[in-house]
Amino acid sequence: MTTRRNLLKRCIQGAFVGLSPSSIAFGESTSHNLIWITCFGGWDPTRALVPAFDSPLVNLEPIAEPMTFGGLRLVDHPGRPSVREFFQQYSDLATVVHGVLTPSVAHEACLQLIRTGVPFGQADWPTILASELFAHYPIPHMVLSGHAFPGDLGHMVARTGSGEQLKALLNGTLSDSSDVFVSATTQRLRTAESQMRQRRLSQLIEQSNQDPMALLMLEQFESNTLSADVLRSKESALNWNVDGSFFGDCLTAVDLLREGVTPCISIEHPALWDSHSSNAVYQHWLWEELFSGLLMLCNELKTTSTSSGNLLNNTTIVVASDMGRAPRLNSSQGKDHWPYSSLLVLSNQMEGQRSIGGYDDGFQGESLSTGFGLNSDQQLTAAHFGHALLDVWGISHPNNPVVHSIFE
Amino acid sequence: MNPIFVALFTLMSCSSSDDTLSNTALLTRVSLDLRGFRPSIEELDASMNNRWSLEQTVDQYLTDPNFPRVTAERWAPIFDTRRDETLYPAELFGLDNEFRFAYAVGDEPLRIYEEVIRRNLPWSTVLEADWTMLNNDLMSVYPAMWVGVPPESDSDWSVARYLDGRPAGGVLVSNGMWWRYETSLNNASRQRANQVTRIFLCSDYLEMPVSFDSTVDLTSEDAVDSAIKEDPGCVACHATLDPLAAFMGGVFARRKSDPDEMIYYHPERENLSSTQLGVDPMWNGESGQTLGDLGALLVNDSRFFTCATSQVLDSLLGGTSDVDIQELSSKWTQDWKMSMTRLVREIVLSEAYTDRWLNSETEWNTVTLHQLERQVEYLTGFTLSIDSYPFLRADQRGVANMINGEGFSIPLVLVQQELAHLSARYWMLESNQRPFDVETIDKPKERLVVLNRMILGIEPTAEELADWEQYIDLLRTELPINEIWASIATVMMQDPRFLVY
Repeated sequence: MTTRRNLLKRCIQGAFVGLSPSSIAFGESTSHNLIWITCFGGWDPTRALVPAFDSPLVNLEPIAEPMTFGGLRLVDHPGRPSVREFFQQYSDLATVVHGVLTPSVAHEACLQLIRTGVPFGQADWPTILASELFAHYPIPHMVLSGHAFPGDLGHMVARTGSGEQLKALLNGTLSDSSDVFVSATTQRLRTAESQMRQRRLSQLIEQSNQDPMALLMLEQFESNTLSADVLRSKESALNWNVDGSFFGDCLTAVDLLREGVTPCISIEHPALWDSHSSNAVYQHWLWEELFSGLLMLCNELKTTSTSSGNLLNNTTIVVASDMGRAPRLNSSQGKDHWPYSSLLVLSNQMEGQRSIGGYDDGFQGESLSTGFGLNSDQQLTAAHFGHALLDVWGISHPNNPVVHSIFE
Repeated sequence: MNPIFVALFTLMSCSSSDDTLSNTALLTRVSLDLRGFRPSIEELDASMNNRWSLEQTVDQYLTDPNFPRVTAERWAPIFDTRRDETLYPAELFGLDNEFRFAYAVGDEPLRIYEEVIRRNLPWSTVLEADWTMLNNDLMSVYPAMWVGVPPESDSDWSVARYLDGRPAGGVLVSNGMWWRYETSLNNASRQRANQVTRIFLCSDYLEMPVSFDSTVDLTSEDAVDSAIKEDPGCVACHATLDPLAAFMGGVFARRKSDPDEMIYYHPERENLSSTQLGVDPMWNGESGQTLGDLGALLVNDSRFFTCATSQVLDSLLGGTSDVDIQELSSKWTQDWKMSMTRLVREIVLSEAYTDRWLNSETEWNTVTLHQLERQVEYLTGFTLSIDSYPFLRADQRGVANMINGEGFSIPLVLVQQELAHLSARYWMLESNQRPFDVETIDKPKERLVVLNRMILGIEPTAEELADWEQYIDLLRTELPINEIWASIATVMMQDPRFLVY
C-alpha cells in the first residue's frame, strides 16, 4: 500500500541516487486550483457588482448604467472600461453572490469572518482546502500578499514576503546582501550538505520508527525540506513579484500554478479600500484597477496550456472584501462600514452569468428563504459562503446542510 | 507511557529513567525559556552530575541579564506593536535608520514590561508607572527627558519621563501603543478601548458574536446611536466599550498628518472622547477621567492579573495545562508581591512544567524566530541583517511575516537552512568565538562531540560519528579544514532538533 510516508521515503531515496528535485513527483497542476483575492478595507459593490438603480436609499454615480450578461446584472461606467471588458470576456464564468453578512463592522474582525466564517481561531478557507486536498504539493497554500489565517495549520501555509525574501532564501544569495560579511560557497558543497542532511534525517526517522509522535514531527520536517528543494529547483522559472503590485501578484500566481508549486493562492489587493471620504473617487479608481488586473490574470490563465486545456479551466477565483460600504454618503462624501457585501466567484464549476442572493429595501442581505429559496430564515453569512465554496471541491460540512444549495 | 514523552525522549535527551524528563532536556527547556538560548557545554556537563538541581539552575537563570528581555518578549505577539514602518518616516525627524526608529516606536511598551521585570517591580507598575523607556532615537522625537543615566549606545534603552502633561499610566500612555492602534472621529477610540481589554484583560470584543437586528435602519445615524444604547445586540458590547473609550481623549489626534498631534499628549482633550461618545468614562462601575485613572481601575480589576497569569502560562505551557489560573493569580498578587520573576519561577518549577510532556497533547515546541535568532547569535556571534533590517524580525524586509503558526512551515525550514549556512560559515571562518582550533582536524571525534553538544545539546551516536568521519574524508581532498568544520556545523544546525525543544 502506498502511504504518504512511503511516498516520501521514495522521494528521499530518489534524491540520494542523484535525481534532481525537479524530478520528484510534483509536476504540472492537475488539481482544481483556488485563487482567493481580498480587497481589504471594505469595497463599495454598487460601483460594479450591485445595480441598485431602483433603490432610493443607495447613492450611486450619476452616469453609471445597468449592464447585463445573461442573468448577471452589473454596473457599467464609461470611466471603468476594464470592468465592462472583463465581463464581456468572462461573464460565462461569473457568479455574483449578494447580501453576504460579515457580522461586525471592524475591519480585522470582518476580514477574519469573510476568510474563516468565525471571529477567531479557525483556519481560513484556502488553508482548510489546502490541508484537505493539497498537502502533497510543495506549498499547499501560498500567500502572496496580505492577511491569512492559518490557525493550527501553519505548516500548510507559506508567504512570499513583500520583498524578495523568498527569492533570496531559494537562490542562496542572502550572503550577498548580509550586513556582516560571509564568504560565498560552492554549489557542490551545498549539494554535499544537502545529502548529508537528508541522510541524518533518514536515520532519525529510523530511530523513531516505533514512535508515532516523533515520526509525525519528522515527517512534517522531511516533507517541507523536500518542498524546499523542489522550490529551489523551480526558482528560476518563477517571476516573484518585487514591486508589491496587484498585477505582479497575479503574474506570480500564474507562474506558481503553471509550475505546480501550489494549487491554492491568496492575494490581497495592495490598496486600502476604506473610503470614509471621497468614496466616488477612490472606489472608481480601485474597481477599474482591480478589474484591469483580473482581466490580465484570466487572460494569462487562459493562455497557459495544461494537459486538460488551460489553467483558467482548472481554477476558481474568489474576489471578496472584508465588508461592504453603507448605501448613503456621509458628510465627507464617503461611505462608512457596512456588514453586508457582495462577492464575485469565477469558476467553470458553476453555471456562470448569474447573480444570486440580494438586498432588501434597507440594503441588508435577503434571508436564505427570500434570496435562495431555501427553508431558512437565516441571512446568508460569510460562513455559509465559505462552506459552499469548499463544497465545490467536495469538502462537505454536515453541520451546514443549507450550503449545498447556494451555488446550485 | 505517553508516546509524546517517548518521542521527545528519543529526540531530545539521553534519558535516565522511564518516568522523568532527563536533566539535559529540562536544562535545555529552562535555558531557552528563561534566557533564549541553549545551555553551554559546561552547563550540560553539570546537569549530568547527581548534585545538579533544577531549582538552583532556574534561580541562576532568573538573574541572567537576558531574562527580562526574553520574558517581556512573551507579550510581543499580544501587543503586536512593532512594525518595520511607522506613521512617519525617520528622516522627518532627522534620523537615518528607518527600521531602528519604526521598530523602537513599537518596542516602547515591551521595554516598559522588561524594565518592570528587571527591577522586580509589582506588575501593576506596567499600567501605573510615571516613567517610560526610550532609546536615543525616540528621545530625539518625543517630549521627554532621561530620568537616570542616558543610554550608552543607540541600541540601549533607558528610563525616561514624558514632559507633556500626560498622567502616570505606564504602557497606557506610551506613544508606542497609540501610534500602532489609531482611531478616527467616527470610531471615537472604540478600537483603542478594545485593544486595552484584549491586551490587559484577555477579552476581545471582536470575538463576541454580533447580532444585527434587521429592523434597525443602519443607514440612519440617529437609529444607530439609539440602537447602541438600547438594542440588546448592540448594548452587550457598547455598554462597557464606550465608557472605556471615553478615557482616551488625551491621546486623540485631530490630524494625523501633523506629527505633533501624535507625538504629544493633549491634556486639554481629556473630555473629548466622552463628548464624542455621549457617555462618562467608567470601568467596572468606577468613574475616572484620564488614562492614568484607567490604569488604576484596571489594576483593581482582578482580571488584569488573571489575564497576565494566563498569558505567561500559555507561552510557557502552550495553553494545555490544567493549572488553576485563579489560584495561581491569587498567590501572585497576594503572596508573591506581583513579581513577574516569582510567577515565572513558580511556573517553571511546577509539575505542570516539568511533567508537561507526560500529560499534554502538545507534541513539541517550535522555537520562535526570536529564539532562533538569539540561539544562533549566542552560538556563533552572527546576526543576519540586511541594510540594518534584522532579517528574522523585520516584516517588509525580512521573514517575520512569512512564518506563523505552529510546526515546521516551509519558510521556517528555508530560513533555518540559510541561516545555518551563513552563521556556521561566519562562526568558523570569520568570528573570534570559534569553538576550537578550526584550522586543524586532530581528534575529529572529540571535536564532533563538542560541536554536536554545542549545537544540539546532545552527544552524537556512534553511527552519527562514523557518518561524520566519512563526510570529513569526502571533503578533505577538496576543502580547507576550516571550511569542513563550517560545513559540519551547517548540517548540524539544519537538524530538526535545532528548531524544537
